[in-house]
Amino acid sequence: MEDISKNIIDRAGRGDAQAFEMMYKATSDFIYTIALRITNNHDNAEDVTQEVFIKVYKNLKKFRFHSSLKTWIYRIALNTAINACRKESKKIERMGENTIDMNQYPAQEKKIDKNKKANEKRIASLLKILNPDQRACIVLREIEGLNYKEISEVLKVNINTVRSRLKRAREALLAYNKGKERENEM
Amino acid sequence: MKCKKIRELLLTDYPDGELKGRLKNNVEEHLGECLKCRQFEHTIRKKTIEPFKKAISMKPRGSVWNRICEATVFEKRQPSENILNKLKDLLHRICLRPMAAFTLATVIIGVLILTVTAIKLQPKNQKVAIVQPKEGIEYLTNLIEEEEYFSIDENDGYNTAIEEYFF
Repeated sequence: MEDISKNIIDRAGRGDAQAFEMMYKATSDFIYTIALRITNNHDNAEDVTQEVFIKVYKNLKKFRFHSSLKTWIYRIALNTAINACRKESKKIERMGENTIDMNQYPAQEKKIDKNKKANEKRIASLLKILNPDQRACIVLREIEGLNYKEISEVLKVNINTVRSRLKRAREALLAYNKGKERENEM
Repeated sequence: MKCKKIRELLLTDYPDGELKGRLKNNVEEHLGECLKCRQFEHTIRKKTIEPFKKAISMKPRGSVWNRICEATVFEKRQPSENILNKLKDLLHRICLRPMAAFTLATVIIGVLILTVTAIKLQPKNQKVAIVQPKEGIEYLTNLIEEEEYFSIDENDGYNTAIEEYFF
């Protein structure tokens, strides 16, 4: 995420559309990417991105710089994405069908080369086996590179909770890989 | 340290760089000696960490920004609403600064005390001469007319015997 000056944050908080657009340009990619990792669905990720920016716009006035803007935005983005993911899971359970469409890339993503696309598919399939809380921890740790303290601040949970979620997530990933290897051997 | 305890650390703190000092040295010493734990560490890195390191950043479609704009940002506000918002902003900013909020509160309380005191000090039975605007105009017109009447008299003389004698 690009750094945003305090002046831009203040201006955006006072309703300055230009400053808010600058904030959008600096943060939209990373918010969308996080939302996509958690929801595994492009349409839902876009909805989450929209919802996050509406929340940011409405609450920016109340932002008092007690935590960094990055931590604050991470928190909003992850909570919104986790909620969307839970809603989607309930919907899938009700409808009895899988609506995850990670393979349907939006137009601009067709330019991504084959290797990267394959890796993205692999990441999506790995994240899919985790629950939303474990997914959030893995995304923050592995993709965003946050340390345990930062993750606990973003998710507002204890460091030991972060540790145990990461442990369970990695155990689940190891088990999934073992299962895949067995399938391939057969 | 036993393999079980080491593997717990290999799943979390060690690959994430959260281990420091003696504990980190103990894990590294154990990895140097134990082949199974070394293989376990390699598998964790390869299967659960490395795939995510190549993750790329994605861009939302342009329509997302348009939807955000429609939903919130550029809703045209009425002028009165703007003034209200500016006042709200000002109050909000004042409230964020304790000194400014205290000063504002002191001024408001001071004005209230002065107003209440002034009302209480005013004598209850004092009749205040209230002159209605219309009556006031009539009164002033009468005054002018009277003045004109006397001034005409002055110019024309007092009609006394002395006057008659001299003029």
